[in-house]
Amino acid sequence: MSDRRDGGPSGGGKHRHGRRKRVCRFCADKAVAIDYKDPQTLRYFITDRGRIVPRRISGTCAKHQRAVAIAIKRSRVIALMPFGVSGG
Amino acid sequence: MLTEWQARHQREYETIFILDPRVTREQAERVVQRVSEAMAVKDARLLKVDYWGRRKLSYRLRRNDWGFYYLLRFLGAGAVVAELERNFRMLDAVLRHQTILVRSDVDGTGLQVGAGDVEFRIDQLAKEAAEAVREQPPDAVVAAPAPPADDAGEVEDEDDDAGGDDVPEEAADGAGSDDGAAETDGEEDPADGGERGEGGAS
Repeated sequence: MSDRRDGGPSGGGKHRHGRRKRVCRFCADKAVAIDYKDPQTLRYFITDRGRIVPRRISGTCAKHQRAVAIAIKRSRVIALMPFGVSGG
Repeated sequence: MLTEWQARHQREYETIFILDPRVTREQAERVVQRVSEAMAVKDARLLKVDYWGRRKLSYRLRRNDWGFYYLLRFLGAGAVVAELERNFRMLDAVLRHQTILVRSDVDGTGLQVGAGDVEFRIDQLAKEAAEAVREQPPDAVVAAPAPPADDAGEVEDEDDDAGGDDVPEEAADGAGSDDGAAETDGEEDPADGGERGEGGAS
């Protein structure tokens, strides 16, 4: 049934590529604030082409991913972060 | 004036604006004056002015790679934001602005704001702007006004071409209605662009 589908990360199921479960960075360290004025922190959550990294890659929890996405978009408007990087 | 209730239930906003890297002292002073006026008119209170200095932009804004950043924090109602942004839109020196609601329902009574906190530091801005212009001569400014010297004549030529060789008066009137479009094209690349375009089409 459904227990075969995923195994559940904490239920002792095997991780196919031996990947460790990622923990949301902002949940792990409450001191790190999500601030649109701080492009250094946000840079971790965009690709080198300037796109927002999905949370299945970055491991951010849903709540913080929403906040990160909003912060990145605000940051883009005031030219602290790029909308996209052309070429490459 | 604010009522007692309004003073106890204000909103805290945060505005970032970017000034042109070639901003003059007069322009900067006008910006500061407009900000202060907007605050005064709409009963808002500036809490903090942060001058970030000259920073590199992530992408070009009106042909600028750099800009002077300012961060404002203030208490007020929604009308202040509208007034402030209306003013920013009128000022050519402001490249970009963005206002964000930080907190709502803030009790503004008994809040102390130091004089040093709301200092725009125009002296430093003017100094840095002058240094930047000296380092990097404004090539974009030189390039822009070059084309329009013979603008009127060129536009007339274009109209003639479009209307054919012998243009009767009616046709000339028709061409006149296109004038606006032709002129706006002419600003970027006068006549040449149009002729090339026709050549390519035929």
